[in-house]
Amino acid sequence: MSGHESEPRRPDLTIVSEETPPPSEANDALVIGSAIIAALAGVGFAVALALGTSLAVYGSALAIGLLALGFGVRRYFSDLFPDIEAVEPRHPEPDASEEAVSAIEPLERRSLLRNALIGAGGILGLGIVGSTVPSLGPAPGDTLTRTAWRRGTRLVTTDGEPIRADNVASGGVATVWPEGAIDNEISAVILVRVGDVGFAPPTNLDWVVNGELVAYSKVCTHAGCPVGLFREQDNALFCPCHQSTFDAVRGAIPTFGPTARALPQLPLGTNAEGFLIALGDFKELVGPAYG
Amino acid sequence: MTPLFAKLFDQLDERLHVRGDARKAANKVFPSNWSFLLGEVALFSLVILVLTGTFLTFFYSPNVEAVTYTGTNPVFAGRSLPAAFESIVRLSSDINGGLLFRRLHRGASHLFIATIVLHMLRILLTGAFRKPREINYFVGIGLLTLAFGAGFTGYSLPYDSLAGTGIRIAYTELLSLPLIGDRIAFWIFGGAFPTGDVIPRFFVLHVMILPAALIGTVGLHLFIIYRQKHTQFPRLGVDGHRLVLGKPLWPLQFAESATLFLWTAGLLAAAAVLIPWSDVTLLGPYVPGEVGNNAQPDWFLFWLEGALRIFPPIEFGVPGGMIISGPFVAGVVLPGLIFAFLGIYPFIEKRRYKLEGEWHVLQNPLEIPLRAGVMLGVFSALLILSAAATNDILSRMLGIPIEVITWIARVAVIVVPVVLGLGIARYARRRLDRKGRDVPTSEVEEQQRYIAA
Amino acid sequence: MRTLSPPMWRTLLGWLVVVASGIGVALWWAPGDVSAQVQPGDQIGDVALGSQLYAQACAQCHASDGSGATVPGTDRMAPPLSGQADVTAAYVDLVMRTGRMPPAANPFDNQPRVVVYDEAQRLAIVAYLVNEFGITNNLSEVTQLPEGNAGSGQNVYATNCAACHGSTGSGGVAGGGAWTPTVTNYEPATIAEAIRVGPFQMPAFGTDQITDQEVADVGAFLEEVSSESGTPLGLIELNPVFASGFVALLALATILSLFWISSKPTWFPDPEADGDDDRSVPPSASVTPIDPSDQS
Repeated sequence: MSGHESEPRRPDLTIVSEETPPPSEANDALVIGSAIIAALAGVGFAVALALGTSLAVYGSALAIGLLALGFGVRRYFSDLFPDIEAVEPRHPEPDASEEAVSAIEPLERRSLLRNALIGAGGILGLGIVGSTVPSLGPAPGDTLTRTAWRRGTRLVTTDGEPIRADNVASGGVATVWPEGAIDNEISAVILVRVGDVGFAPPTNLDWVVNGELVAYSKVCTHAGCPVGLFREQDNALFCPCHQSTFDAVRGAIPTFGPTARALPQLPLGTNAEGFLIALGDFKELVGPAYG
Repeated sequence: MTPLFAKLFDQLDERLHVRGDARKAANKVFPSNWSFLLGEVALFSLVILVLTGTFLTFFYSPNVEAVTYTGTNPVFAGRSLPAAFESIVRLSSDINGGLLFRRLHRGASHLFIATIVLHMLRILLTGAFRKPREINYFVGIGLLTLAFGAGFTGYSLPYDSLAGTGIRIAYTELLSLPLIGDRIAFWIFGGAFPTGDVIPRFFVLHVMILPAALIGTVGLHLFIIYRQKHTQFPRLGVDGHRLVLGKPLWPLQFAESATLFLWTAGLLAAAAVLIPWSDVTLLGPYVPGEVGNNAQPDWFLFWLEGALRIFPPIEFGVPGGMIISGPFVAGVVLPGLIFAFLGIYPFIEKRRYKLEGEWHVLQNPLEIPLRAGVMLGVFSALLILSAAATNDILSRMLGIPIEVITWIARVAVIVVPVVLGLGIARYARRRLDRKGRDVPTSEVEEQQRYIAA
Repeated sequence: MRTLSPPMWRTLLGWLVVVASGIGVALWWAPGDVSAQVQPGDQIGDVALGSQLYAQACAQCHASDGSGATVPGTDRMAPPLSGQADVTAAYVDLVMRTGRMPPAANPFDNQPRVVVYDEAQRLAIVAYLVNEFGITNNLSEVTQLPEGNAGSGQNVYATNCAACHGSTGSGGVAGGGAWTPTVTNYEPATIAEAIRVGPFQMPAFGTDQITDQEVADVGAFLEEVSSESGTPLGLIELNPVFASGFVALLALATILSLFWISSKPTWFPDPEADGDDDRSVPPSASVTPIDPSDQS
């Protein structure tokens, strides 16, 4: 390095302060000590990992090895070189000349030619992008406005079992799906059997079974989280994500939180065998609003 | 330099003629301050992210087809799981060292974004964005955005129940864009949520596009700072606008950086031992229609999550078929405004104080009342929004109903930033008046004042 | 909200009829749905001890006849225990198992409690309530479970329980001033009682919805969660909020390292130095401010 040269010692480094570390055996001991610890930790890491010990063991070995090595590197460098503060000018070179970047000047031609090429390039690029991007996904069509519920579709549990009105305990809830479309996210429904409190508007009473079973979309009208929490004592449906709260005996209108819309009520009925069925699709938009 | 290294360098120099440039680089002076190393920690975190991420890529399967897990984890043995989640369980329970790499990767991602944010705070408070550094400031904002993208896609890939919920909310945000939201959401997700395409696509983004963009942008960031030289804090007797005072790159700055890299890795390893940040297996795989209580994104998105939670219930139609919803305002407009604010703030300040010329010496934010007020206002608002994202945990810990906490946050997010911002701006103005000063509009003006003092 | 049950005197009357008839087996055939399944309480525990404990700890609020009374210091009623269809042996067993009852102070504060009674005392009170108030003895029906499987339990838990109690059972918020309790560290029997009776704000789940096998599986899953070894700090799975606290600690540790790394290195004193320990070399440049008027 520059330190071994004769005068001028460092022609291209303007030093403002320089301190030389005294030779120190204590420092040598620190460097050697950390090197030994780091090496042992490296061996320990390899062995502990190979033996399949716990992460706490080999992870600690890795941490100790890295920290010890870092400590050793700092001690090594601080003893090997003088501590130097130097300055350099912020703007060493004179400002760039006013000349053009290229030495070759263009000849006089109509600017139309250049503009035509730029325009054509833009159109070509837009064409390529504009035709490629739409093939990334299908057109939404009616997928956002229609769910898998149809007239007569049976309600089934996550296991695919059709359910009857008395399968849900009083004051109980169940997550149900349209038969044949389990895990179709937008069709998730929460079935609530409230106690004998009676429903109030805007609940559609035609879609209440036995005067106590009601079904709402489980997709929150705020951000689309599943509204999975039911508070039995005040018949509230509560979204654990953003705390939108809905009144299950008043048409699931929002009573708190960031959502502005009620959960759509599923037209609910029973078929001849006593299984719960849908009487049709939801009549309102399911889930969050979209453009 | 050791003889061997010198010999190798001679061989290289004979062929490439790099001695002059290398010497220039070795003697380049770097101002020294602990806060100048925050960006370096971010850089080293990125290196560790790439290294650990490469290991994880060998085992991760980017799809959601059901496969049967045959490993040793007692909760999942013999169960049919989405392949992505299954590979995470395998990595965590069956592959030797897999969990260590997962925790290192996750910890490094937290440290990466945390140090980027702290670094940016230092830039904003001290005015390091001023001419000639506007370009690098924008590059930095780009890096922050890319880091958020990498963080969110990484959070999503395990396809655990939190990840699936996060993806669902991201889908809602895309849908909420007026007029074109449904199209854009379907283009990005390949159809209606949850498609089988979202995980493979996020995977490509997370392991290819975003890392490539990050590495390229970091390179540009470093090139520009090398070219423009670092700012420095004011020091008595040093004309920082014309001189750079600091440590030569070799050996002193290099020694700092080498130590720092090893310590960053060491601290992350220690954190991996103690903190199970990436242990998502007990959450179970994502199941449509189900979510766990206490669902949050990672901390760097708390401000958006908090905005979603406390935004009032507003949703209205606009003539022309548009619907403006709460998630649109809180999750799209708000971050748009925040990033727009970051982008234009340097120009607001320049215009307000008629600033001119270049500026290389860092300032105390109290010297510029506008900056002190605006920064405290904006960042206190972001902190309150972030706290609002923890309203469920706070409610439980404090025993206060969540509705009360939400209302407190709704009021506080408006009142506190205004009060704090105006208060500190007023204090800064009085402080300047007391010292008989005004905001210096150019370095020349500041220099003259300095000489007079 | 709940079905109003027949007033207490009807139950007492039923008991009178039963006793007067002098037919032991009539216990099994007594009229009325409440007493239909009643078994003698002394099959559960020590009725005499239960009577004593009830008088000490319960009667003040629930009344010595179980009809409920105003809780001292509040204006709210303690719920009646007798004649309630949903107050079953499993319910009263659950509230004592979890420490919900008897409360140390305000019973309505919705805060975690300490468990007061051991198993013998608890069962004694249940036995007393079954004998004295004729509450339904469904204890063995609810708590006798098959062997559980943690794997399918996770599935059942995620579908039915996680929305309220969190994906790993750490509890959460239910809104309206209600919180859901932590459900790890309970025996499967306790979990089973909670699922079946649906205490307080919690909905009940019948066997049509969650079978006994599935209840056992959920119990096994929660036992698996609480038996996870965790990190040396005892942490298992971290909610992002707690993770954010650790991110702050990591950032703090990093900043402290930065202070150290950017500081001037400590040098050890030179043993051969002659007292003048100034190691500095004269500077080769002046860095006094440049007069701006010199600049073009």
